[in-house]
Amino acid sequence: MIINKLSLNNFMCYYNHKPFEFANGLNIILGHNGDGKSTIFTAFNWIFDQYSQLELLDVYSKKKYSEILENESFEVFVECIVTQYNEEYKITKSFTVTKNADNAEISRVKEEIWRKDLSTGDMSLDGRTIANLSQQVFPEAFRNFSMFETETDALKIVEGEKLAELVKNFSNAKHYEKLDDVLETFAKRADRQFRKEATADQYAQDKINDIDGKIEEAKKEIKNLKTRIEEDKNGRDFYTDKITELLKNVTISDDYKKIEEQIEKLNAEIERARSENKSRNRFTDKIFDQFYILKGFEKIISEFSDKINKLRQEKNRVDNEERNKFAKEKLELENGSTPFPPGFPSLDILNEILKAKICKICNTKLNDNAEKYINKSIKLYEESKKKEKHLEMPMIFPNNFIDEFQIIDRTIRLKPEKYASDRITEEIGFGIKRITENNTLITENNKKISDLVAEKKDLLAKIPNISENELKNIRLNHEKYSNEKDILVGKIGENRTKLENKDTYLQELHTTRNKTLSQFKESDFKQSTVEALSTFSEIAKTVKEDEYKKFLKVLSERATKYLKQINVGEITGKIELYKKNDKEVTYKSLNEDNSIRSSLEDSGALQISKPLSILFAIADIASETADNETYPMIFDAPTGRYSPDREQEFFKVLKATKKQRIVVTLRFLGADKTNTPFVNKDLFQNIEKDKAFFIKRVRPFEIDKPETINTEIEELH
Amino acid sequence: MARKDDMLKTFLKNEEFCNKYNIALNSDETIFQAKCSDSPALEALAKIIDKYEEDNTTPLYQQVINLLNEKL
Repeated sequence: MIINKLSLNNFMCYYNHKPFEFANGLNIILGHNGDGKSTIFTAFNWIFDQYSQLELLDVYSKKKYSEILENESFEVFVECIVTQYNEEYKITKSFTVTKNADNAEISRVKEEIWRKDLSTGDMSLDGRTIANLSQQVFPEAFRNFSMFETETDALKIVEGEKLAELVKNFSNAKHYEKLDDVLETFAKRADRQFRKEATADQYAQDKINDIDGKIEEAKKEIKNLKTRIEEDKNGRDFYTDKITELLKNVTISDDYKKIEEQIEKLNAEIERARSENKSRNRFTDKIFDQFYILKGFEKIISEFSDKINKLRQEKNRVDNEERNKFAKEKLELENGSTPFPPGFPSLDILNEILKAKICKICNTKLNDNAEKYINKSIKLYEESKKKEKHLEMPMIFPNNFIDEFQIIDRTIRLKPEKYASDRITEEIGFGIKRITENNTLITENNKKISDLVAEKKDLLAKIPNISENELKNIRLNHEKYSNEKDILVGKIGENRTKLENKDTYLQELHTTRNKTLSQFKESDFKQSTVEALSTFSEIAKTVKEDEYKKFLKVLSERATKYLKQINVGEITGKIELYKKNDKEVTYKSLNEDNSIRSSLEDSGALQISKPLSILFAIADIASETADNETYPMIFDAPTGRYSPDREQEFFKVLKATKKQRIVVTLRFLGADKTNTPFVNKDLFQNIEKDKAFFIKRVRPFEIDKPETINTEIEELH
Repeated sequence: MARKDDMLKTFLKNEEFCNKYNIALNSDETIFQAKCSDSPALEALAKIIDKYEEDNTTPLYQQVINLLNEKL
């Protein structure tokens, strides 16, 4: 089927009548967002998909509506002219909009099909509904993989039940499935008939029934084992994929750890250098401040020594005097000798006397006068306490320089070689050298650390989905996944052995059954007839599976071919389609050596190329199996993730398929200062196409005023 | 017919089937030829492949049963 023409009349942003006349090849429609690209897709859907529901109030041209008077009407329609075999169909879906005082009145949707015989030119009205005609010209099964609004649509369709449905439709599998059904029914029917017509004792009858029960059970177990093996294989592939991903990250993780270790080592070196500099600085301070200065007075050193000794003795004497004086004053205060008279009892004893009212010294009762006297004395004492001086040890020589100089003097006398001028100079030189070396090391290490930190950031940027912590645990996860994988591989092995044993057991059951059947006394209905039909049925099952696999293999090869074509020059790997279970088909990516290919290895463009390649492959095979009938493919923005180079390859492949393709895209467009779009001719001329259109809203317009919107179509030559 | 010939061929490629009924492995027989085969098993299978799509398969079943009971 070929779409010759699509006309939009007052449909959404397409004001009045706007036709696209398509070529039977690659058609590209360029348009910016909001200029009516998706409207084309909506129009196709409205025509071909009977389940497409449009809110009619939203899809008529508001510009047209603003121009008509009250009670006036206009027609909204989408018209599609298609050719199939030797007939042309003009399919129209329309409704009328009437302007009322308060609102717009929408009529019912009208459908019309005109058929034209291309050999005679005769035109006639086709009485079918559009839905019926669509089943003939553009069946749902084909439309499902032929029309994509965005790349993600394509991604969804090439996995699971939809893909299984497509494979079933376009492979021979569906014929084999039917043949298998018929043969199985015949075999069962023949078996029943044989047993009914032949005669046998009750034991043989019972035995057959028993074996049949066992056969059913064994078949069920075999099916379960196969499912489990498939599931475990999927799990194994999942972990293999994960491990591949991790292995890539393990290298990153190891590099990361190495960097961390290096940074740690460099920081330790800096710490050591800083610490040495700190002590070196102290050392040099000492040298400069004390020893070095003293060495300058070598000749008078003994005089200095004597003087120091004398000064020290004088200092000690003054110190001692002051200390004694201080000790005496302190003692007087502590005894509390002032203001109590001499020989007066202590404060504690006085308080006891007052409490007991008995003099503890003369052991007589305390009279009032004595009590008053004691109270007065205590009061005086308390007041004197308040006035007490806080005495501190006097510091006559607070800096203790004399002692220090004496130590230096003794040190010099004890180890004269250590403090020789040359030795000190050498010491200072070495100290300065070390400080310089350490400072250089600190600067260099800091620079290295900042480089390593940048390197670390680059590493982390490579794996945006993995945090630093996860990165550190990668080896642990790798071990975990490897263990899981090993368990699954072990299970697959075990179940395969079980499956082999079950197959043998089933075979034995069949043999026993045949032997038991031979005990039946044959009528005209032969046992060999039952056996023959049973054999046919068994073989049909194998053949059906083989055909399915064969088809998937062909499809995989074609898809891989397209993948390589679109991504020429890139390492693409291979696509392998496989039966996930009875209902679903999916695909995996393999490297050239058939190992699992991690999705991390693929660019965004390569990832989206895979479903598109599968779709091209299906379209190829579909047209080969459907009596060489071909169907158009309609894409809305399929190349969002492609670089210009890849995009060129993608269009090259589309063109090479030599089938009708309609692609709507916003690529190859620029915009001037007033935001008016224009076609980037330099880029677009490199794309080989059969027809091209440029759609844009007529300027000026206001985006929030739909009555100003009118999309025009320019055919590019 | 070509598709049905292909379906028959897939059976003729099956070693178990050919050995059991003494049929040449990988032979190129068409449905038409196989229906006239000396081998009753092949004849029956060809008849089934030729007519398996029919809505009512009972006549086909009867025909195949008669054929096998008589010739096998």
